Amino acid sequence: MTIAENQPAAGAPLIELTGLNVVLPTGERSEVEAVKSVDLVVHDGERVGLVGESGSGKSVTGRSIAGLLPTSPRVRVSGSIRIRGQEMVGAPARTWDDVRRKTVGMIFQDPLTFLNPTMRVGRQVAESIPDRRPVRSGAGGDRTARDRAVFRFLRQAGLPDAEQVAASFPHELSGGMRQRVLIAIAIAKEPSLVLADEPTTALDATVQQHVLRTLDETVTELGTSLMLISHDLAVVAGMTDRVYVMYAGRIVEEGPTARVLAEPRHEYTQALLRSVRSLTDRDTDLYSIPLALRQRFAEEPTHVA
Amino acid sequence: MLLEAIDVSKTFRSRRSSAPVHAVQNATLQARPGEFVAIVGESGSGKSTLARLLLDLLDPTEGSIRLDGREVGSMDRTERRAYRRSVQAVLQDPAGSLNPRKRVVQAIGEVIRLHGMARGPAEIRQRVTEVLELVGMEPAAAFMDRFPHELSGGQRQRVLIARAIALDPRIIVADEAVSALDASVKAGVLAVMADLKDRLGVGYVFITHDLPVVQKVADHVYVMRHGRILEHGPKDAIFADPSHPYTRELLAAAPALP
Repeated sequence: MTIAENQPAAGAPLIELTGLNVVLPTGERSEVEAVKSVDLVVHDGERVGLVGESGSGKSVTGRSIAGLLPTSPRVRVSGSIRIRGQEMVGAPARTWDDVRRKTVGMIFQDPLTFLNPTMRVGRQVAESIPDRRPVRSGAGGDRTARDRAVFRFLRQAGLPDAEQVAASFPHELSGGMRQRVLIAIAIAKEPSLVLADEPTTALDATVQQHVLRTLDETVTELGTSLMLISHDLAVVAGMTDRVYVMYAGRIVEEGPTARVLAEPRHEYTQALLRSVRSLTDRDTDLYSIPLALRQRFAEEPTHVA
Repeated sequence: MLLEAIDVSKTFRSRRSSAPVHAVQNATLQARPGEFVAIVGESGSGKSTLARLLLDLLDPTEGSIRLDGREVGSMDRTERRAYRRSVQAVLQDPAGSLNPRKRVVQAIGEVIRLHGMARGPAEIRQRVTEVLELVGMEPAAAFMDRFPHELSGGQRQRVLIARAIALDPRIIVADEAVSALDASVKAGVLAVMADLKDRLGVGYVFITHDLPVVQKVADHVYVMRHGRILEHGPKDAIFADPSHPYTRELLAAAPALP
Protein backbone atom coordinates (compact mmCIF):
# COMPACT_ATOMS: atom_id res chain seq x y z
CA MET A 1 0.00 0.00 0.00
CA THR A 2 1.40 3.40 -0.96
CA ILE A 3 1.45 6.24 1.48
CA ALA A 4 -0.95 8.31 -0.59
CA GLU A 5 -3.48 5.49 -0.43
CA ASN A 6 -3.34 5.49 3.33
CA GLN A 7 -3.94 9.20 3.82
CA PRO A 8 -7.29 10.67 4.79
CA ALA A 9 -9.03 11.39 1.51
CA ALA A 10 -11.34 14.25 0.77
CA GLY A 11 -14.78 13.05 -0.25
CA ALA A 12 -14.31 9.60 1.29
CA PRO A 13 -17.12 8.44 3.58
CA LEU A 14 -16.61 8.99 7.28
CA ILE A 15 -16.79 5.26 7.98
CA GLU A 16 -16.63 2.53 5.38
CA LEU A 17 -16.53 -1.16 6.22
CA THR A 18 -16.00 -3.49 3.29
CA GLY A 19 -16.16 -7.27 3.63
CA LEU A 20 -15.30 -7.05 7.31
CA ASN A 21 -14.73 -10.35 9.10
CA VAL A 22 -13.97 -10.65 12.78
CA VAL A 23 -13.10 -13.94 14.45
CA LEU A 24 -13.06 -14.01 18.24
CA PRO A 25 -11.78 -16.75 20.54
CA THR A 26 -14.48 -18.24 22.78
CA GLY A 27 -12.41 -20.83 24.61
CA GLU A 28 -9.07 -22.59 24.61
CA ARG A 29 -9.62 -24.15 21.21
CA SER A 30 -12.87 -22.67 19.99
CA GLU A 31 -13.62 -19.46 18.14
CA VAL A 32 -16.59 -17.73 16.60
CA GLU A 33 -17.00 -15.76 13.39
CA ALA A 34 -18.66 -12.83 15.12
CA VAL A 35 -18.78 -10.62 12.02
CA LYS A 36 -19.07 -12.04 8.49
CA SER A 37 -18.44 -10.00 5.32
CA VAL A 38 -20.08 -6.86 6.64
CA ASP A 39 -20.39 -3.83 4.34
CA LEU A 40 -21.45 -0.66 6.10
CA VAL A 41 -21.14 3.07 5.38
CA VAL A 42 -21.70 6.15 7.51
CA HIS A 43 -21.56 9.52 5.77
CA ASP A 44 -21.03 12.91 7.37
CA GLY A 45 -24.06 14.14 9.27
CA GLU A 46 -25.87 10.83 8.87
CA ARG A 47 -27.74 8.98 11.61
CA VAL A 48 -27.42 5.28 11.19
CA GLY A 49 -28.87 2.48 13.30
CA LEU A 50 -27.44 -1.00 13.72
CA VAL A 51 -30.01 -3.38 15.19
CA GLY A 52 -29.84 -7.03 16.07
CA GLU A 53 -30.45 -9.48 18.87
CA SER A 54 -27.81 -10.49 21.37
CA GLY A 55 -25.06 -12.42 19.63
CA SER A 56 -25.81 -10.86 16.24
CA GLY A 57 -22.40 -9.21 16.05
CA LYS A 58 -23.62 -5.62 16.27
CA SER A 59 -21.44 -4.66 19.24
CA VAL A 60 -18.39 -6.36 17.76
CA THR A 61 -18.97 -4.35 14.58
CA GLY A 62 -19.20 -1.18 16.68
CA ARG A 63 -16.05 -2.04 18.58
CA SER A 64 -14.18 -2.64 15.32
CA ILE A 65 -15.05 0.89 14.21
CA ALA A 66 -13.60 2.26 17.43
CA GLY A 67 -10.56 -0.03 17.38
CA LEU A 68 -11.66 -1.56 20.66
CA LEU A 69 -11.62 -5.27 19.89
CA PRO A 70 -9.84 -7.44 22.46
CA THR A 71 -6.09 -7.30 21.96
CA SER A 72 -5.54 -11.07 22.03
CA PRO A 73 -3.44 -12.35 19.13
CA ARG A 74 -6.23 -14.85 18.49
CA VAL A 75 -8.58 -12.06 17.40
CA ARG A 76 -8.51 -11.99 13.61
CA VAL A 77 -9.79 -9.08 11.56
CA SER A 78 -9.87 -9.14 7.77
CA GLY A 79 -11.49 -7.00 5.12
CA SER A 80 -11.38 -3.24 5.29
CA ILE A 81 -12.20 -0.56 7.87
CA ARG A 82 -11.71 2.88 6.35
CA ILE A 83 -12.11 5.99 8.42
CA ARG A 84 -12.17 9.04 6.16
CA GLY A 85 -10.51 6.87 3.56
CA GLN A 86 -7.69 5.75 5.80
CA GLU A 87 -7.30 1.98 6.07
CA MET A 88 -7.40 0.95 9.73
CA VAL A 89 -7.10 -2.84 9.52
CA GLY A 90 -3.61 -3.51 10.78
CA ALA A 91 -3.08 0.12 11.77
CA PRO A 92 -0.81 0.73 14.76
CA ALA A 93 -2.32 1.44 18.19
CA ARG A 94 -1.21 5.06 17.93
CA THR A 95 -3.34 5.61 14.83
CA TRP A 96 -6.35 4.16 16.63
CA ASP A 97 -5.66 6.43 19.62
CA ASP A 98 -5.80 9.31 17.19
CA VAL A 99 -9.12 8.14 15.75
CA ARG A 100 -10.63 7.83 19.21
CA ARG A 101 -9.26 11.20 20.24
CA LYS A 102 -10.46 13.13 17.20
CA THR A 103 -12.93 11.24 15.06
CA VAL A 104 -15.04 8.76 17.04
CA GLY A 105 -16.61 9.51 20.40
CA MET A 106 -18.13 6.52 22.17
CA ILE A 107 -20.97 5.96 24.58
CA PHE A 108 -21.47 2.53 26.10
CA GLN A 109 -24.24 0.86 28.05
CA ASP A 110 -22.55 0.73 31.41
CA PRO A 111 -21.07 4.09 32.38
CA LEU A 112 -19.42 2.75 35.53
CA THR A 113 -16.92 0.62 33.64
CA PHE A 114 -16.06 3.59 31.44
CA LEU A 115 -15.79 6.29 34.09
CA ASN A 116 -12.87 6.47 36.48
CA PRO A 117 -14.36 6.05 39.97
CA THR A 118 -11.56 7.97 41.69
CA MET A 119 -11.61 11.05 39.49
CA ARG A 120 -14.08 13.90 39.61
CA VAL A 121 -16.36 14.08 36.61
CA GLY A 122 -15.18 17.52 35.53
CA ARG A 123 -11.60 16.35 35.10
CA GLN A 124 -12.73 13.36 33.06
CA VAL A 125 -14.61 15.62 30.68
CA ALA A 126 -11.64 18.02 30.55
CA GLU A 127 -9.29 15.20 29.58
CA SER A 128 -11.19 14.53 26.40
CA ILE A 129 -11.17 18.16 25.22
CA PRO A 130 -8.76 18.21 22.26
CA ASP A 131 -5.76 20.47 21.75
CA ARG A 132 -4.83 20.44 25.37
CA ARG A 133 -2.20 22.86 26.48
CA PRO A 134 -0.28 22.07 29.65
CA VAL A 135 -2.40 23.27 32.54
CA ARG A 136 -0.46 24.63 35.46
CA SER A 137 -2.37 24.48 38.71
CA GLY A 138 -3.47 27.93 39.79
CA ALA A 139 -2.14 29.43 36.57
CA GLY A 140 -5.40 31.19 35.80
CA GLY A 141 -6.28 31.77 32.14
CA ASP A 142 -6.25 28.35 30.56
CA ARG A 143 -7.77 26.65 33.53
CA THR A 144 -10.88 28.77 33.68
CA ALA A 145 -11.32 28.53 29.92
CA ARG A 146 -11.15 24.75 30.23
CA ASP A 147 -13.58 24.81 33.14
CA ARG A 148 -15.99 26.89 31.13
CA ALA A 149 -15.75 24.41 28.28
CA VAL A 150 -16.37 21.51 30.66
CA PHE A 151 -19.47 23.20 32.04
CA ARG A 152 -20.67 23.94 28.51
CA PHE A 153 -20.33 20.30 27.42
CA LEU A 154 -22.07 19.07 30.57
CA ARG A 155 -24.95 21.53 30.03
CA GLN A 156 -25.15 20.51 26.39
CA ALA A 157 -25.42 16.91 27.52
CA GLY A 158 -28.50 17.78 29.55
CA LEU A 159 -26.92 18.48 32.94
CA PRO A 160 -27.96 22.03 33.88
CA ASP A 161 -26.19 21.89 37.27
CA ALA A 162 -22.89 21.55 35.45
CA GLU A 163 -20.71 23.04 38.22
CA GLN A 164 -22.07 20.65 40.81
CA VAL A 165 -21.86 17.62 38.51
CA ALA A 166 -18.27 18.49 37.54
CA ALA A 167 -17.27 18.44 41.21
CA SER A 168 -18.89 15.03 41.80
CA PHE A 169 -17.50 11.53 41.66
CA PRO A 170 -19.32 9.06 39.36
CA HIS A 171 -20.85 7.10 42.26
CA GLU A 172 -22.55 10.25 43.53
CA LEU A 173 -24.61 10.52 40.34
CA SER A 174 -27.70 8.63 39.24
CA GLY A 175 -27.62 6.24 36.27
CA GLY A 176 -29.23 8.77 33.94
CA MET A 177 -26.77 11.47 34.98
CA ARG A 178 -23.80 9.17 34.47
CA GLN A 179 -25.01 8.37 30.98
CA ARG A 180 -25.25 12.11 30.27
CA VAL A 181 -21.69 12.51 31.55
CA LEU A 182 -20.64 9.95 28.94
CA ILE A 183 -22.41 12.00 26.29
CA ALA A 184 -20.50 15.09 27.53
CA ILE A 185 -17.19 13.20 27.34
CA ALA A 186 -18.02 11.94 23.86
CA ILE A 187 -18.94 15.36 22.47
CA ALA A 188 -16.09 17.18 24.25
CA LYS A 189 -13.77 15.67 21.64
CA GLU A 190 -15.86 17.36 18.96
CA PRO A 191 -15.85 14.06 17.08
CA SER A 192 -17.18 13.49 13.58
CA LEU A 193 -19.06 10.42 14.78
CA VAL A 194 -20.80 9.62 18.03
CA LEU A 195 -20.92 5.84 18.37
CA ALA A 196 -23.51 4.83 20.96
CA ASP A 197 -23.82 1.14 21.88
CA GLU A 198 -27.04 0.46 23.83
CA PRO A 199 -26.70 3.88 25.51
CA THR A 200 -29.99 3.66 27.40
CA THR A 201 -30.64 -0.05 27.81
CA ALA A 202 -29.84 -0.08 31.52
CA LEU A 203 -32.01 2.95 32.25
CA ASP A 204 -35.63 3.29 33.35
CA ALA A 205 -38.06 4.21 30.59
CA THR A 206 -38.65 7.78 31.79
CA VAL A 207 -34.90 8.38 32.10
CA GLN A 208 -34.24 6.66 28.78
CA GLN A 209 -36.58 9.05 27.06
CA HIS A 210 -34.75 12.08 28.47
CA VAL A 211 -31.30 10.74 27.66
CA LEU A 212 -32.31 9.90 24.08
CA ARG A 213 -33.73 13.37 23.62
CA THR A 214 -30.50 14.85 24.94
CA LEU A 215 -28.45 12.71 22.57
CA ASP A 216 -30.73 13.67 19.69
CA GLU A 217 -30.48 17.40 20.41
CA THR A 218 -26.73 17.31 20.97
CA VAL A 219 -26.00 15.48 17.74
CA THR A 220 -28.28 17.82 15.80
CA GLU A 221 -26.72 20.91 17.33
CA LEU A 222 -23.17 19.80 16.58
CA GLY A 223 -23.96 18.31 13.17
CA THR A 224 -22.19 15.12 14.22
CA SER A 225 -22.88 11.75 12.61
CA LEU A 226 -24.51 9.19 14.87
CA MET A 227 -24.26 5.45 14.87
CA LEU A 228 -26.74 3.93 17.29
CA ILE A 229 -26.36 0.26 18.13
CA SER A 230 -29.34 -1.31 19.86
CA HIS A 231 -31.45 -4.41 20.24
CA ASP A 232 -34.45 -2.13 20.65
CA LEU A 233 -36.14 -1.32 17.35
CA ALA A 234 -38.29 1.35 18.98
CA VAL A 235 -35.21 3.27 20.12
CA VAL A 236 -33.59 3.07 16.69
CA ALA A 237 -36.88 4.03 15.01
CA GLY A 238 -37.01 7.41 16.68
CA MET A 239 -33.34 8.28 16.37
CA THR A 240 -32.03 7.24 12.94
CA ASP A 241 -32.62 7.82 9.24
CA ARG A 242 -31.07 4.64 7.95
CA VAL A 243 -30.73 1.25 9.54
CA TYR A 244 -28.76 -1.98 9.18
CA VAL A 245 -30.26 -5.21 10.52
CA MET A 246 -27.77 -7.85 11.66
CA TYR A 247 -28.28 -11.54 12.28
CA ALA A 248 -25.69 -14.21 13.04
CA GLY A 249 -22.80 -11.92 12.12
CA ARG A 250 -24.24 -10.76 8.80
CA ILE A 251 -26.10 -7.69 7.63
CA VAL A 252 -29.39 -9.11 6.37
CA GLU A 253 -31.12 -5.86 5.44
CA GLU A 254 -30.30 -2.19 5.02
CA GLY A 255 -32.46 0.77 4.13
CA PRO A 256 -34.24 3.92 5.31
CA THR A 257 -35.42 3.28 8.87
CA ALA A 258 -39.03 4.17 8.10
CA ARG A 259 -39.14 1.81 5.10
CA VAL A 260 -37.46 -1.10 6.91
CA LEU A 261 -39.90 -0.85 9.82
CA ALA A 262 -42.98 -0.39 7.65
CA GLU A 263 -42.10 -2.82 4.85
CA PRO A 264 -39.31 -5.14 5.94
CA ARG A 265 -38.03 -7.14 2.96
CA HIS A 266 -35.87 -9.82 4.53
CA GLU A 267 -37.69 -12.68 6.21
CA TYR A 268 -35.61 -12.26 9.37
CA THR A 269 -36.51 -8.58 9.70
CA GLN A 270 -40.15 -9.52 9.16
CA ALA A 271 -39.98 -12.19 11.87
CA LEU A 272 -38.14 -9.85 14.25
CA LEU A 273 -40.70 -7.08 13.78
CA ARG A 274 -43.52 -9.54 14.20
CA SER A 275 -42.12 -10.65 17.57
CA VAL A 276 -41.57 -7.04 18.72
CA ARG A 277 -45.08 -6.04 17.73
CA SER A 278 -46.54 -9.17 19.34
CA LEU A 279 -45.33 -7.84 22.69
CA THR A 280 -47.29 -4.61 22.34
CA ASP A 281 -50.25 -5.32 20.04
CA ARG A 282 -53.23 -6.40 22.03
CA ASP A 283 -54.85 -8.54 19.38
CA THR A 284 -51.91 -10.65 18.26
CA ASP A 285 -50.55 -13.80 19.89
CA LEU A 286 -47.08 -13.68 21.38
CA TYR A 287 -44.66 -14.59 18.61
CA SER A 288 -41.20 -16.03 19.04
CA ILE A 289 -39.00 -16.70 15.99
CA PRO A 290 -39.08 -20.50 15.52
CA LEU A 291 -35.79 -22.36 15.83
CA ALA A 292 -36.08 -23.90 12.35
CA LEU A 293 -36.39 -20.41 10.85
CA ARG A 294 -33.39 -19.20 12.84
CA GLN A 295 -31.28 -22.08 11.58
CA ARG A 296 -32.22 -21.28 8.01
CA PHE A 297 -31.44 -17.57 8.45
CA ALA A 298 -28.05 -18.43 9.90
CA GLU A 299 -27.19 -20.78 7.05
CA GLU A 300 -28.40 -18.82 4.05
CA PRO A 301 -26.61 -15.52 3.75
CA THR A 302 -28.93 -13.24 1.85
CA HIS A 303 -28.79 -9.51 1.84
CA VAL A 304 -31.66 -7.22 1.00
CA ALA A 305 -30.85 -3.61 0.29
CA MET B 1 -55.60 -19.84 48.02
CA LEU B 2 -54.73 -16.24 48.68
CA LEU B 3 -51.31 -14.66 49.11
CA GLU B 4 -51.40 -11.26 50.77
CA ALA B 5 -49.09 -8.50 51.85
CA ILE B 6 -50.90 -6.54 54.50
CA ASP B 7 -49.69 -3.02 55.29
CA VAL B 8 -46.16 -4.28 54.98
CA SER B 9 -43.07 -2.07 55.41
CA LYS B 10 -39.38 -2.77 55.18
CA THR B 11 -36.79 -0.39 56.50
CA PHE B 12 -33.08 -0.97 56.01
CA ARG B 13 -30.74 0.56 58.56
CA SER B 14 -27.01 0.60 58.25
CA ARG B 15 -24.71 1.20 61.15
CA ARG B 16 -22.64 3.78 59.35
CA SER B 17 -25.14 6.03 57.69
CA SER B 18 -27.68 7.66 59.94
CA ALA B 19 -30.58 7.79 57.49
CA PRO B 20 -32.64 4.58 57.31
CA VAL B 21 -33.93 3.53 53.88
CA HIS B 22 -37.67 2.97 53.72
CA ALA B 23 -37.62 0.48 50.86
CA VAL B 24 -41.27 -0.50 51.15
CA GLN B 25 -43.91 1.51 52.99
CA ASN B 26 -47.37 0.27 53.90
CA ALA B 27 -47.83 -1.94 50.88
CA THR B 28 -50.95 -4.04 50.58
CA LEU B 29 -51.28 -6.56 47.77
CA GLN B 30 -53.18 -9.71 46.90
CA ALA B 31 -52.30 -12.56 44.55
CA ARG B 32 -54.17 -15.74 43.65
CA PRO B 33 -53.48 -18.87 41.63
CA GLY B 34 -54.55 -18.46 38.03
CA GLU B 35 -54.07 -14.71 38.16
CA PHE B 36 -51.35 -12.57 36.58
CA VAL B 37 -50.53 -9.76 39.00
CA ALA B 38 -47.95 -7.20 37.89
CA ILE B 39 -45.99 -4.81 40.07
CA VAL B 40 -44.54 -2.06 37.91
CA GLY B 41 -42.04 0.54 38.97
CA GLU B 42 -38.66 1.94 38.08
CA SER B 43 -35.36 1.26 39.82
CA GLY B 44 -35.48 2.16 43.49
CA SER B 45 -39.26 1.84 43.67
CA GLY B 46 -39.05 -0.99 46.21
CA LYS B 47 -40.61 -3.58 43.91
CA SER B 48 -37.81 -6.10 44.32
CA THR B 49 -37.85 -5.68 48.11
CA LEU B 50 -41.57 -6.38 48.05
CA ALA B 51 -40.85 -9.52 46.00
CA ARG B 52 -38.32 -10.67 48.58
CA LEU B 53 -40.82 -10.08 51.36
CA LEU B 54 -43.40 -12.19 49.52
CA LEU B 55 -40.82 -14.94 49.02
CA ASP B 56 -40.01 -15.01 52.74
CA LEU B 57 -36.42 -14.05 51.97
CA LEU B 58 -36.73 -10.92 54.12
CA ASP B 59 -38.70 -10.29 57.28
CA PRO B 60 -41.00 -7.27 57.18
CA THR B 61 -40.25 -4.42 59.60
CA GLU B 62 -43.98 -3.89 60.00
CA GLY B 63 -47.10 -5.56 58.68
CA SER B 64 -47.36 -9.15 57.56
CA ILE B 65 -47.25 -11.57 54.65
CA ARG B 66 -50.11 -14.06 54.85
CA LEU B 67 -51.14 -17.21 53.06
CA ASP B 68 -54.84 -17.90 53.43
CA GLY B 69 -54.88 -15.65 56.45
CA ARG B 70 -51.97 -17.41 58.17
CA GLU B 71 -49.02 -15.13 58.91
CA VAL B 72 -45.78 -16.46 57.43
CA GLY B 73 -43.75 -15.08 60.34
CA SER B 74 -45.63 -17.26 62.82
CA MET B 75 -45.45 -20.51 60.81
CA ASP B 76 -43.53 -23.49 62.18
CA ARG B 77 -40.78 -25.21 60.15
CA THR B 78 -43.05 -27.64 58.32
CA GLU B 79 -45.54 -24.94 57.39
CA ARG B 80 -42.78 -22.64 56.26
CA ARG B 81 -41.33 -25.36 54.07
CA ALA B 82 -44.73 -25.88 52.50
CA TYR B 83 -45.00 -22.12 52.00
CA ARG B 84 -41.68 -21.99 50.22
CA ARG B 85 -42.83 -24.80 47.97
CA SER B 86 -46.12 -23.20 47.01
CA VAL B 87 -44.64 -19.72 46.48
CA GLN B 88 -41.70 -20.06 44.10
CA ALA B 89 -39.20 -17.56 42.70
CA VAL B 90 -37.92 -16.91 39.19
CA LEU B 91 -35.36 -14.15 39.18
CA GLN B 92 -33.83 -11.94 36.53
CA ASP B 93 -30.40 -13.34 36.01
CA PRO B 94 -30.64 -16.97 34.94
CA ALA B 95 -26.87 -17.31 34.75
CA GLY B 96 -26.57 -16.25 38.39
CA SER B 97 -29.39 -18.51 39.56
CA LEU B 98 -28.00 -21.70 38.05
CA ASN B 99 -24.90 -23.46 39.30
CA PRO B 100 -22.53 -23.47 36.30
CA ARG B 101 -21.18 -26.89 37.30
CA LYS B 102 -24.55 -28.65 37.43
CA ARG B 103 -26.35 -30.13 34.46
CA VAL B 104 -29.99 -29.24 33.88
CA VAL B 105 -31.17 -32.61 35.25
CA GLN B 106 -29.15 -32.05 38.44
CA ALA B 107 -30.29 -28.44 38.91
CA ILE B 108 -33.96 -29.37 38.66
CA GLY B 109 -33.57 -32.84 40.19
CA GLU B 110 -32.05 -31.60 43.43
CA VAL B 111 -35.02 -29.40 44.37
CA ILE B 112 -37.37 -32.28 43.53
CA ARG B 113 -35.36 -34.54 45.83
CA LEU B 114 -35.01 -31.95 48.62
CA HIS B 115 -38.73 -31.37 48.74
CA GLY B 116 -39.51 -35.10 48.40
CA MET B 117 -41.54 -34.58 45.23
CA ALA B 118 -40.15 -37.79 43.71
CA ARG B 119 -37.96 -40.67 44.87
CA GLY B 120 -35.10 -42.48 43.17
CA PRO B 121 -33.15 -41.38 40.09
CA ALA B 122 -35.62 -42.83 37.57
CA GLU B 123 -38.63 -41.13 39.12
CA ILE B 124 -36.75 -37.85 39.46
CA ARG B 125 -35.62 -38.02 35.85
CA GLN B 126 -39.20 -38.65 34.81
CA ARG B 127 -40.36 -35.56 36.72
CA VAL B 128 -37.58 -33.44 35.19
CA THR B 129 -38.69 -34.61 31.74
CA GLU B 130 -42.28 -33.59 32.50
CA VAL B 131 -41.42 -30.08 33.63
CA LEU B 132 -38.98 -29.46 30.78
CA GLU B 133 -41.70 -30.40 28.31
CA LEU B 134 -44.14 -28.12 30.12
CA VAL B 135 -41.84 -25.15 29.46
CA GLY B 136 -41.47 -26.09 25.81
CA MET B 137 -37.98 -27.63 25.99
CA GLU B 138 -38.71 -30.60 23.78
CA PRO B 139 -37.44 -33.21 23.45
CA ALA B 140 -36.39 -32.95 27.10
CA ALA B 141 -33.66 -35.54 26.60
CA ALA B 142 -31.80 -33.08 24.36
CA PHE B 143 -31.47 -30.54 27.21
CA MET B 144 -31.21 -32.68 30.36
CA ASP B 145 -27.49 -33.24 30.33
CA ARG B 146 -26.44 -29.78 29.27
CA PHE B 147 -24.62 -27.30 31.45
CA PRO B 148 -26.01 -23.75 31.80
CA HIS B 149 -23.34 -22.34 29.46
CA GLU B 150 -24.57 -24.70 26.76
CA LEU B 151 -28.00 -23.04 26.82
CA SER B 152 -29.19 -19.73 25.39
CA GLY B 153 -30.51 -16.98 27.68
CA GLY B 154 -34.12 -17.88 26.89
CA GLN B 155 -33.47 -21.57 27.51
CA ARG B 156 -31.83 -20.82 30.87
CA GLN B 157 -34.86 -18.77 31.86
CA ARG B 158 -37.10 -21.70 30.88
CA VAL B 159 -34.99 -24.04 33.02
CA LEU B 160 -35.59 -21.73 35.99
CA ILE B 161 -39.31 -21.77 35.33
CA ALA B 162 -39.20 -25.57 35.02
CA ARG B 163 -37.35 -25.78 38.33
CA ALA B 164 -39.99 -23.58 39.97
CA ILE B 165 -42.96 -25.57 38.66
CA ALA B 166 -41.31 -28.89 39.59
CA LEU B 167 -42.54 -28.21 43.13
CA ASP B 168 -46.17 -27.70 42.08
CA PRO B 169 -46.29 -24.09 43.27
CA ARG B 170 -49.52 -22.14 43.32
CA ILE B 171 -47.84 -18.77 42.81
CA ILE B 172 -44.57 -17.82 41.12
CA VAL B 173 -42.93 -14.55 42.04
CA ALA B 174 -41.00 -13.46 38.95
CA ASP B 175 -38.67 -10.51 39.45
CA GLU B 176 -37.71 -8.97 36.07
CA ALA B 177 -37.77 -12.51 34.69
CA VAL B 178 -37.84 -11.46 31.04
CA SER B 179 -36.32 -7.97 31.18
CA ALA B 180 -32.88 -8.92 29.92
CA LEU B 181 -34.17 -10.96 26.97
CA ASP B 182 -34.51 -10.02 23.30
CA ALA B 183 -38.05 -9.39 22.04
CA SER B 184 -38.46 -12.75 20.33
CA VAL B 185 -37.09 -14.72 23.28
CA LYS B 186 -39.14 -12.60 25.67
CA ALA B 187 -42.30 -13.39 23.71
CA GLY B 188 -41.43 -17.10 23.91
CA VAL B 189 -40.90 -17.10 27.68
CA LEU B 190 -44.07 -15.06 28.27
CA ALA B 191 -46.05 -17.49 26.13
CA VAL B 192 -44.73 -20.35 28.29
CA MET B 193 -45.77 -18.50 31.46
CA ALA B 194 -49.26 -17.80 30.09
CA ASP B 195 -49.56 -21.44 29.04
CA LEU B 196 -48.65 -22.66 32.55
CA LYS B 197 -51.27 -20.36 33.98
CA ASP B 198 -53.88 -21.99 31.77
CA ARG B 199 -52.68 -25.59 32.15
CA LEU B 200 -51.62 -25.74 35.79
CA GLY B 201 -53.59 -22.81 37.19
CA VAL B 202 -50.42 -21.25 38.59
CA GLY B 203 -50.57 -17.53 39.47
CA TYR B 204 -47.86 -14.91 39.04
CA VAL B 205 -46.60 -11.90 40.87
CA PHE B 206 -44.71 -10.38 38.00
CA ILE B 207 -42.30 -7.61 38.90
CA THR B 208 -41.13 -5.46 36.03
CA HIS B 209 -40.36 -2.03 34.67
CA ASP B 210 -41.58 -3.10 31.23
CA LEU B 211 -45.03 -1.60 30.72
CA PRO B 212 -45.81 -2.98 27.27
CA VAL B 213 -45.29 -6.49 28.67
CA VAL B 214 -47.63 -5.72 31.55
CA GLN B 215 -50.26 -4.48 29.16
CA LYS B 216 -49.92 -7.68 27.20
CA VAL B 217 -50.10 -10.29 29.95
CA ALA B 218 -51.30 -8.90 33.30
CA ASP B 219 -54.73 -9.20 34.87
CA HIS B 220 -54.17 -6.84 37.76
CA VAL B 221 -51.58 -4.05 38.06
CA TYR B 222 -49.91 -2.37 41.04
CA VAL B 223 -47.83 0.78 40.38
CA MET B 224 -44.99 1.46 42.82
CA ARG B 225 -42.77 4.45 43.39
CA HIS B 226 -40.46 5.39 46.26
CA GLY B 227 -41.54 2.33 48.25
CA ARG B 228 -45.25 3.03 48.05
CA ILE B 229 -48.04 1.56 45.99
CA LEU B 230 -49.48 4.56 44.18
CA GLU B 231 -52.46 2.86 42.60
CA HIS B 232 -53.71 -0.54 41.61
CA GLY B 233 -56.56 -2.03 39.65
CA PRO B 234 -57.52 -4.29 36.80
CA LYS B 235 -55.10 -3.87 33.89
CA ASP B 236 -57.63 -2.35 31.53
CA ALA B 237 -58.66 0.28 34.06
CA ILE B 238 -55.05 1.25 34.82
CA PHE B 239 -54.06 1.52 31.17
CA ALA B 240 -57.23 3.21 29.97
CA ASP B 241 -57.56 5.67 32.78
CA PRO B 242 -54.53 5.96 35.08
CA SER B 243 -55.45 8.06 38.08
CA HIS B 244 -51.94 8.92 39.22
CA PRO B 245 -49.77 11.35 37.21
CA TYR B 246 -46.74 9.09 37.65
CA THR B 247 -48.58 6.20 35.99
CA ARG B 248 -49.39 8.51 33.08
CA GLU B 249 -45.73 9.51 32.86
CA LEU B 250 -44.67 5.84 32.81
CA LEU B 251 -47.17 5.01 30.09
CA ALA B 252 -46.00 7.92 27.95
CA ALA B 253 -42.33 6.96 28.33
CA ALA B 254 -42.68 3.37 27.13
CA PRO B 255 -40.94 3.26 23.75
CA ALA B 256 -43.07 1.95 20.91
CA LEU B 257 -42.66 1.32 17.21
CA PRO B 258 -44.38 3.76 14.88
